[in-house]
Amino acid sequence: MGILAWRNLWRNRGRTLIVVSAIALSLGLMLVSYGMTLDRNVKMMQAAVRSAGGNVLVHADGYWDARTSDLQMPGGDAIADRVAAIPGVSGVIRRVIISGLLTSTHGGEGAQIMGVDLEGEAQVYDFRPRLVTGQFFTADDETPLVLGDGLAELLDVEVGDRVVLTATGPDGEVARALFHVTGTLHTGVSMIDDSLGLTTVGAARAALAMDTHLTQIGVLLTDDDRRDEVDRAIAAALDDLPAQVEVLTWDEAIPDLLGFVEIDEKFAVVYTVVIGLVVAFGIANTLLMMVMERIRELGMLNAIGMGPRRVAILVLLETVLLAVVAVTVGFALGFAGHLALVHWGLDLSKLSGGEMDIAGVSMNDTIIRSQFDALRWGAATGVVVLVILASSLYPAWRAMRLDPVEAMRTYE
Amino acid sequence: MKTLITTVGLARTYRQGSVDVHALRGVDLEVGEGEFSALAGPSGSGKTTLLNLIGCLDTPTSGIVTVAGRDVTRLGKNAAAAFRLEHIGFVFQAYNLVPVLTAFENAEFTLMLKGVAAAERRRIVTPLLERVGLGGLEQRRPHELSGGQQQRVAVVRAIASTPSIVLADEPTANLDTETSVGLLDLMLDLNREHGVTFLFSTHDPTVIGRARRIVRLDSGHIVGEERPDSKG
Repeated sequence: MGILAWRNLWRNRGRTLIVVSAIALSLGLMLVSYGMTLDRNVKMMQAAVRSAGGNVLVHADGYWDARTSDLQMPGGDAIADRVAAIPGVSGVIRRVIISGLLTSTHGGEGAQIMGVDLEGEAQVYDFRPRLVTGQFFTADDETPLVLGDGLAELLDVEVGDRVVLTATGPDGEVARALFHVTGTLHTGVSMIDDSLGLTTVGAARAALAMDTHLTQIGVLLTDDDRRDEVDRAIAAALDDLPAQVEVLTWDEAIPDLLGFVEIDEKFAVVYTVVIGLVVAFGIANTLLMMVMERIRELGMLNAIGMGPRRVAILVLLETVLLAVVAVTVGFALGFAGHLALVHWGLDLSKLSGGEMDIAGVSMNDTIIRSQFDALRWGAATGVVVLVILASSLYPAWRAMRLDPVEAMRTYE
Repeated sequence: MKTLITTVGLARTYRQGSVDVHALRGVDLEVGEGEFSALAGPSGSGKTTLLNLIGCLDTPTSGIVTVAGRDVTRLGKNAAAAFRLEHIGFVFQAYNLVPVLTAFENAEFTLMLKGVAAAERRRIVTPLLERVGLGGLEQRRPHELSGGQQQRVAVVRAIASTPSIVLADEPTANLDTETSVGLLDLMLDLNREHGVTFLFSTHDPTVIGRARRIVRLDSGHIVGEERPDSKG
């Protein structure tokens, strides 16, 4: 019976190859798409954490919406130390962020000056390799400033020039501070390169006459999936502070991105259903044709003793073999595509003109590769096999219902 | 001689549009074990309908069919198929073989359906194919065989599982006269050598001449019966 089913499958070689190719390509593309989507989503999450500044963020209450320099956390270093001791926290990054006007001898531009610890920042984003000219911070310079190359160009300044920052301090007073341009950097994200300036935490604090204030504490976690739990723990631990703070997970800070990922996941389900339907109708049509063009033969087989049940089993067996061939080829194609993407990747920045921005988050790694998710791949393959088998039920039922006399009279 | 087939008052009426077509009108027939009988008559006389009813391929409008001691008048589809596999061999006019199987695989097909082991199938089928002159052609596909050779493969398939009777519906209709006579002589030899009971339909006078019993049908009735002495 197996031999008969196998040979029947290849009776019309061209048609079977077309069907096998259609299923295999659909499955292969679906698997590659899963691998790419997973890799892109992981990269987007990483970008979101980087863009937000940590898995969880701690600010003065209202800062995230207002983003103004007057909202600072007094005693920021002590708060950071307390947060660092909470279980699940792997590190904290201290930042002083000042939004203000940066002025050179050639004019002024709105800018965001961040007082950072470069070593600490490297845990989410390493600025150091992005340095284009000059140098980062040195011990003998108390007011260093490394500008995004776009901002340096807008201000028409270069290494060694002086610029003045004007911003509102936590006391509500407008303050001015002088900085020396020690270098320029290029991140590749124009929004950052046109507005960012980096200095030390101490220099930033001094600019607005602050002592141990911090604007933001970026909290790094051992496991991002525990962010809600740690978020609650931090909020509880800081409940006794005199000045209220806000504690946000990265997805609370950038809700659009999570929405994008969720829509993307739903789209993947719709994509799977569409592929499933295409496969189902394609297979059902082919198998029905395979049955209908063999009506007389199936009638003859029934007549010589191969009962309706066995005729149906024959059709189902042909389907199983078709499924095995198509799914094997499809899985191989998908895996080959996965390996190719892992090796070479697909640079989406070439498609988008150099920069990638998803839901307001700049993708710093725009080369999408593929990640193997055994559960999802197995489920997708299983669904395709089930769809193929389900699509054979009607043709098998038709074959089973054949009346041998009528069948043999057909095409007589 | 033991009676193998009995039909009593067998009638079959088909509905064609609004018209009733009476293919058989009360046929009483007995076929004994080891007979080599022909159902003769013009087209539309009811030969094929009678064979289909005896072969459990169709259900009579009225009457009774008994084959090998069992009333097969109203068997279900699966039971009828099982009965055919056990007791009845078939040779049809055309499209007898499965095109994707070799001559040998076609010949052993009913044995395979009965679950006979491969070695046993080979032991049974190989000498039969030799006997019908198809030795050396076992691995050929049907399209690589002539019409006569294909019908001989069908005959081997029909007798390989030692059925109670072989029913052949116009087995020579698509063959030239010489090949037809050769096939009939082969069937006759198998009847003599192995005691296989044959009941076949034909309207070819040459073929009819080979039968040892001729049942003549017309308009759904048995209109005559002959037992030519020369064939005894």
